[in-house]
Amino acid sequence: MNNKTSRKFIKPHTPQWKRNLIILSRKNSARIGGAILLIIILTAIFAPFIATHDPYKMDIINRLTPPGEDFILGSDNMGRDIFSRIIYGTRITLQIGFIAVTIGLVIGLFFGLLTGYLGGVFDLVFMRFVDVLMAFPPFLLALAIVAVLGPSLTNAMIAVGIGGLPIFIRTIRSATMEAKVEDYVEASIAQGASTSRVLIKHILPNITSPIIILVTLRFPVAILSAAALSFIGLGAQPPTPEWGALLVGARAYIRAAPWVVNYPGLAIMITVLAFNLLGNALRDVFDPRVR
Amino acid sequence: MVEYISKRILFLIPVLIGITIFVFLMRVFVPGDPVDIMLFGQPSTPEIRENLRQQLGLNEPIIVQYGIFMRGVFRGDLGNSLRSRQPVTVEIADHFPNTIRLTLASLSLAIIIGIFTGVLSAIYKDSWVDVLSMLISLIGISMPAFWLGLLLIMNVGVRVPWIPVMGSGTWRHLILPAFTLGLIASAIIARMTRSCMLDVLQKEYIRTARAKGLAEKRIIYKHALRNALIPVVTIVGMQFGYLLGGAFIIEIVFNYTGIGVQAINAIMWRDFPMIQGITLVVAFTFVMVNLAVDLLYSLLNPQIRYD
Repeated sequence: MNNKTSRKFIKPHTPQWKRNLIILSRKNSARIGGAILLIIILTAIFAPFIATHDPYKMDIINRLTPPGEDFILGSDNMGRDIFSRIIYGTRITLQIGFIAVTIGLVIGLFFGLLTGYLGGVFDLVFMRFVDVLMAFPPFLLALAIVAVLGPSLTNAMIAVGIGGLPIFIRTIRSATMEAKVEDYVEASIAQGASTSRVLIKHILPNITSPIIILVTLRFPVAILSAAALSFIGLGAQPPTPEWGALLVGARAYIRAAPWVVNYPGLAIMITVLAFNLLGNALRDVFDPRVR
Repeated sequence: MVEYISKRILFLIPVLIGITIFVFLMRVFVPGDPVDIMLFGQPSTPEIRENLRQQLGLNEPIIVQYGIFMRGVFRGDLGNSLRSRQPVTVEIADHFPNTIRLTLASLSLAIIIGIFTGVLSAIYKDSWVDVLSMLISLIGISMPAFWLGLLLIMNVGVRVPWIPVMGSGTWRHLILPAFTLGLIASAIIARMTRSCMLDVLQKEYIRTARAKGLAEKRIIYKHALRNALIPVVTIVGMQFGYLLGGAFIIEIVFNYTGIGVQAINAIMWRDFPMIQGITLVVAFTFVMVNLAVDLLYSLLNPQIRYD
């Protein structure tokens, strides 16, 4: 979108990754997304110092108190402080994103590199397996996995991670297929390098851009899916202050206490927005096809 | 063309078989004894348990069990719900149409709003119209659907008396849930339409059309939009799946009687025949929709390579 800024002078002989970082830091969407994320990460680390109340402490006398002096963002139906619960929720949300994405990334890297590099019958058979996973709408795949494993926050993270697996495998596979026909890969094979050496030393470093973009853009999807699972009671269980779980039962207080509905949802939206902003900026910078 | 279609259908067979294996394995991988789940809360003796195991074929080797499962699938018999004791197929047939109705209504809304916004943004690129609609669509993509649903209940449902905020049955009950899902999906379609449109507007044939002196309206609707919509068609299939998944949650928000509410109750109650049946039907539906979209795509786009 902003071609003028990215064309600004960058010293010659700057390595490509540094060049990309400089272009990235000049993009407004990357700046805003990055800044919000930084705040969220700091909030998660310093949650005990920021929270004004114990996020689990019930106070029935002060239930459904509107936002004000005692409760910055009001209190819920058990009299718990919504602000403190949201603050502690950042920890859970970041953890969900991190674990779900790591599951997809690790398994996706292993199989994606392997099928993309080996090709042939292995690829043909294995990709039919991936086709089967793709035959389920992503959220329903996660739902089916939770159905088997049982409702809990950990299982929700695993389920969301596996739900994102097909896209990880396919992206890494096609990047590998593109990289493996490059001269440097063939030269290395000609010198007798082992398959694992070729994959780790030559192919992996050259497919980092699509992986970085995908990882950043999978975070918001994982956070949204896990929040949805918690909202329908299949993820984080009460009294965990997970953001989706904070909205369970909120429907009943829509008229009387709109703050119970408003703020946890807003927290999810801002976090997801930050990841999306950063991810889009990364895609603009790192993906030569878009640039 | 015929070859492409038959190939596409042929490739479907292993996927369909794969789905049945996945769904069958769901029960195998459940921790705990299925007999315990089925007899939950009922007095049982070892004889009753053994009889039940025999009846369900649980003593047979896995491969035979899969055979029994597949025989059921072909006969349209997916067992009985453990909760309602009704055949699973009957339960699904009762509720699935409602969910499909919601999915299609939201998909139509998403397509109309999404394409309209996307085209407008592309034509007036970098104007306030573009900036505003892309900002809104970014927010739309980042919003949890169930939260938007709650916000709509709070702000629209409560104020407009003729729009019901819960239940199902009439077209009015569809309004809020369909808008919830449709608005969010339209954000994705709008962004896609915009970038395809901008892509096409740079093509030489558009310049030719301009050079010929065609009216701008004609260029945009006759030449640009038609070509820009071809890639948009491909994501409609994906969107169907996304909306179908989203419908499961939105049904809960609006207390809308569909397969989503049933599925979530089934998971809570560990009603496995029901869970398996729903998973199977939804996956088959999604596969068929994607097939239809692919075929439509190949019809619309003569440039496609059939290999």
